[in-house]
Amino acid sequence: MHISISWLKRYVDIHETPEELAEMLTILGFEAEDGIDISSINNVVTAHIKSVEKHPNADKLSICTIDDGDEVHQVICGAPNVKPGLNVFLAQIGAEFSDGFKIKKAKIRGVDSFGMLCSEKELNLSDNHSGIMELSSDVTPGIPFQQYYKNHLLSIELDITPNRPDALSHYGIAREIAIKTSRELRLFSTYEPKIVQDVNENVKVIIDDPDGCPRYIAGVVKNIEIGPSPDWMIQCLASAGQRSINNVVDISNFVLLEMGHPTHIFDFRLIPTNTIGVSRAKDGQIFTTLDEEKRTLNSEHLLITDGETPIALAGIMGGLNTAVKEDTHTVLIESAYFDPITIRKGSKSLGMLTEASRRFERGADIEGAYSAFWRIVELLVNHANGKMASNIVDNYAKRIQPPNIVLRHKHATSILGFDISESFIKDSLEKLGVQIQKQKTDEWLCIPPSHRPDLEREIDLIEEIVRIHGYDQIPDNANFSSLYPDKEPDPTNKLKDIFTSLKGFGYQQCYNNSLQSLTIAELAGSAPVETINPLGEQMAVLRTCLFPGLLQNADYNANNGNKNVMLFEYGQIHQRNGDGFENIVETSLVSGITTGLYTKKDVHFNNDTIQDLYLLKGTISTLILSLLGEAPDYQISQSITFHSAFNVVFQNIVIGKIGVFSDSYKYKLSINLKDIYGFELFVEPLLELLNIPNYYKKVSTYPKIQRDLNFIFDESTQSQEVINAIMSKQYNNLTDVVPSNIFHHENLGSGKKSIVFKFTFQSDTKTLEDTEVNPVINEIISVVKSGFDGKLRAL
Amino acid sequence: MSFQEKIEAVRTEFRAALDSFPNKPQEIEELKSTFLGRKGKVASLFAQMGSVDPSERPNIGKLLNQVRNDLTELFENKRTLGASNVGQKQQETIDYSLPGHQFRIGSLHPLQQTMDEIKTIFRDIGFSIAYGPEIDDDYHNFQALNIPKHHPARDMQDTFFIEDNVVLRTHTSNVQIHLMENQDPPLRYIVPGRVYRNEAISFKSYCLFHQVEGLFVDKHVSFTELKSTLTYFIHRMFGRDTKVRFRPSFFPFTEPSAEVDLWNEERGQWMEILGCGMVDPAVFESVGYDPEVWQGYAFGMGVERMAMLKYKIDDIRLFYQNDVRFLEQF
Repeated sequence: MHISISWLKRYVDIHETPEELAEMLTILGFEAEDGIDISSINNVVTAHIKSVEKHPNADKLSICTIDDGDEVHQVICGAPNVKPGLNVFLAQIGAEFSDGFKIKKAKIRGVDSFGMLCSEKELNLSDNHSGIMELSSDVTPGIPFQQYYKNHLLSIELDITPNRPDALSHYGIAREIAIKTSRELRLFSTYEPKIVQDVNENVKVIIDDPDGCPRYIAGVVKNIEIGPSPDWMIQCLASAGQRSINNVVDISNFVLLEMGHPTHIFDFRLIPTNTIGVSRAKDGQIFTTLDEEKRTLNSEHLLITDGETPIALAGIMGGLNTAVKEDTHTVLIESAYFDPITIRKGSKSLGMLTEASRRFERGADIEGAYSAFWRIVELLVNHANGKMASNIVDNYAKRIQPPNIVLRHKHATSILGFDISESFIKDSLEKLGVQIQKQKTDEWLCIPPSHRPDLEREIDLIEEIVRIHGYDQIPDNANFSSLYPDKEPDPTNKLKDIFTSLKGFGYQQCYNNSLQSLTIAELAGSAPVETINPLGEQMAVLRTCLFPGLLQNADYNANNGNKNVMLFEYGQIHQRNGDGFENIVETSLVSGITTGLYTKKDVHFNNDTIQDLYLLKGTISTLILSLLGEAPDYQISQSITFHSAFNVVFQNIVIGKIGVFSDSYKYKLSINLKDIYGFELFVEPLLELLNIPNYYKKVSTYPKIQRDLNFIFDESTQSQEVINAIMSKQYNNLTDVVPSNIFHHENLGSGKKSIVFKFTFQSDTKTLEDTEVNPVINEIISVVKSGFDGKLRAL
Repeated sequence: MSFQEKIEAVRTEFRAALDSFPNKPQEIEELKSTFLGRKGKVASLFAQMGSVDPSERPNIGKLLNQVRNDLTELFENKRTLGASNVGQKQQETIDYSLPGHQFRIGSLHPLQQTMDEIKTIFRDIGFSIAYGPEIDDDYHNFQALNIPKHHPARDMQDTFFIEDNVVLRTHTSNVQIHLMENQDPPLRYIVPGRVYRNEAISFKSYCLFHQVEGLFVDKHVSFTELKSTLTYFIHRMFGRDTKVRFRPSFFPFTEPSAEVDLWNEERGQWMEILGCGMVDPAVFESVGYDPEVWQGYAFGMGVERMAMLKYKIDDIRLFYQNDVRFLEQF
């Protein structure tokens, strides 16, 4: 909300600099945003348009004669609102705008132009670029823009929270300043409503939907002369970022920004029924609003009708059919209160957020509707030559009672944690317009004013008291409860060990977007969860796997000169196992990828080492060993992403997967890197395993016996399967079997290989004798022979 | 040159030779025979004894013996030292200025580190940590938090919808409701997690970010305690001298509500870093806590914003680009 400082001064004295005022409003809860930066705008001055002629070679361009107070210039202008007599801003030759645009002498379609007439947008004042900015008629030409801005246009942009509809107005903000500074708040109007002696028109207001429209005030003003607004009003509107249209339209806009109450002015000639009806639209009903858009309505929309035909979309926008025109002479004023939810639903479903709907959906002032009506009348009488032609018709169909709130001093102290004096509480609430009455010691009965629909409960009043008191007055050095029963420690605390280990192994942690395209998400083979309103096709669904993000990271880095990466990510994935919320499954993963070189040759080492599956397998084994005290098993498995895939298994629980990314998977992701290896660990089962207590195992003090056996196998034999077969026999004292050497030689025969296994025997209770080990060795030899056709070979 | 002087000259020469003690066994043996061998320099001194005045011979003889013993001892010491401490001997031949053999080391993401730091501070003062679902129903993300349907407060958070009543959570406050539905007060938690906003991606906003939400419910929890706790947190996170400002704001699920700013000296302006307030009685009512008995505070902060302030990062997209040249700096 643009709040003009010169406008505020109509209601309250302001001695502060704009910066001090912005700070004061911010600590009152109205956050002032960074001001408009106009420091770069130079060589722009106020100017007067003396005459306007058509450009001989272009329909839309005009040749203007401009007086800048010093000289008269010829300027070509394309704005639709250019006309003789206007006061405007002229960017002279040499002016430069923040976007770097410079004004030079130019020939436009064969005619010389010595400058440019500016729109609000060009001057950073608003986004309005529909025409040139119009200044009031009393402005003398030649005032530099900076000076004019400082004296007349200075405004503060406030971010008004949705609970404060009253602050969407200059008077509302002035009220807050008056409370904070204990200054006087001047009335915005002293107009005395009079009973109309000379009633020419009778108006009926019929409300079919009192819930949607609890109050509707109407009245007719005749003799209207449409014309320019008074200079002070043009100035007020301009300083709040609004352009003057004509006196009648401006008056309605002015009252909206002055007191925050939306009103509407109809051309009364076009309401021949003399009737205003308020009712719900019919499904499919078409209505053309002021902005010339055809709107398709339904029964959620509230309409203003002339009894039959719709003439306005209640609380959102007027209709084109009854809009005020140049020749309008009699108007009907609407000042109503509409139900916030009805207006909210209507404006949302039509995608129409207007100044009116913004205020009604937050809760307008139902009593303020009355003063807004008379304020409009006053201004029409004073500035459009208007004359009341009907009595005020006030159909207050459903009275909204202000709440009665009991405020307990003790409760306020308990919530706030410090005491605010009784006199301060009473004083602040009264200044806010709350009627306050003492009930018992320590207790008041409070009735908030109608312009504060947000004050409904005791807690709302407590907030107001501390807000006025100042948050800076709240102590910040109180003791706080530091010891507290820890019902549940961080359930994912152990993940930190995984992250730290991976960092130690050389992995860099990544964070990727959870939103991706459907095509990519479907590659994981599970049904993705889709969003109804995505930011775009590329971010339409939730990720089903962490690999696409990591692979794209590797690709990005390769394109930026880093082909050798080790990346990991911890994150959540989602999949849909059926319709409905309950069939959405969230899972946590730690995934990683490696590619390129692991180490580069350097002064100490003569060779590069490359990433491969053994390095990855070793990394995962080391990680699991360090976390769980034992290395995992690996079982060959199938995977959509890998061409060689293994499940990582710990105590028969699959805790993850490793493998080599298949070319087809990489192709589908448009990844051009050659060899990429990946792992994925399932966090939920892993965390469960990590919670199993780790008990000490006795260290054997007896010596180990080690034996090597060398077998010849078919090339296809998997060493782990041999080891598994041996270990499954659970031989006494056999504690470990590892492959210690593999070699191929033509002497072994074609398609053969030799593997040396190292067997370790150890007892917990005694020193083993060869005689105890030898029979086991013999059994192993026969198991390997029968199970794998492994022939023993001399070492 | 007197005979004594000759003796001292040999001693000096030998000491000098020992200073550059050779490496190779053959050279060591050569050094030994040059001085101490049968035809070495000491032996030749003994051979010249005949030319010494007879009255001086006993003294000279004594001196020569002593020199031979001294030099032999020096030599043997040097030889054993050389054998047992190759390093010292190699000092002049090995280039220790070469770089060491470094390990490849990874890095933890700045958001992870920032999140961990926040968690640590709150754990230190007695908060537990809880997590909750990223996809939740409208009730837990909005309605139970006093954000009814068709309320303008819904505009404060642009929401991704999965179904009409199912959303990608817009804050981790949904977990507040789950916690209170499942536990009796008192309780005290922080809730870290990923949240989503339907906002176009730019240098200052992303379609998702990370949040740490805090909740403390007990009988005497007050606004003063909230301010004190958060001031403590900010001082630990950003330093004791950080200037902190609390100012009124509005969140449907807290009242009174505050926005917390910290002063950024470099930019000369206040930076908004978190929102907080006293749990609104309507929230207590929706989870069945009696607001006449229980009081609480809640707060929420953006991890990205904290990390950007902490590391002076000016573009939020850097966190999600995963350029290793960026990651390795943390």
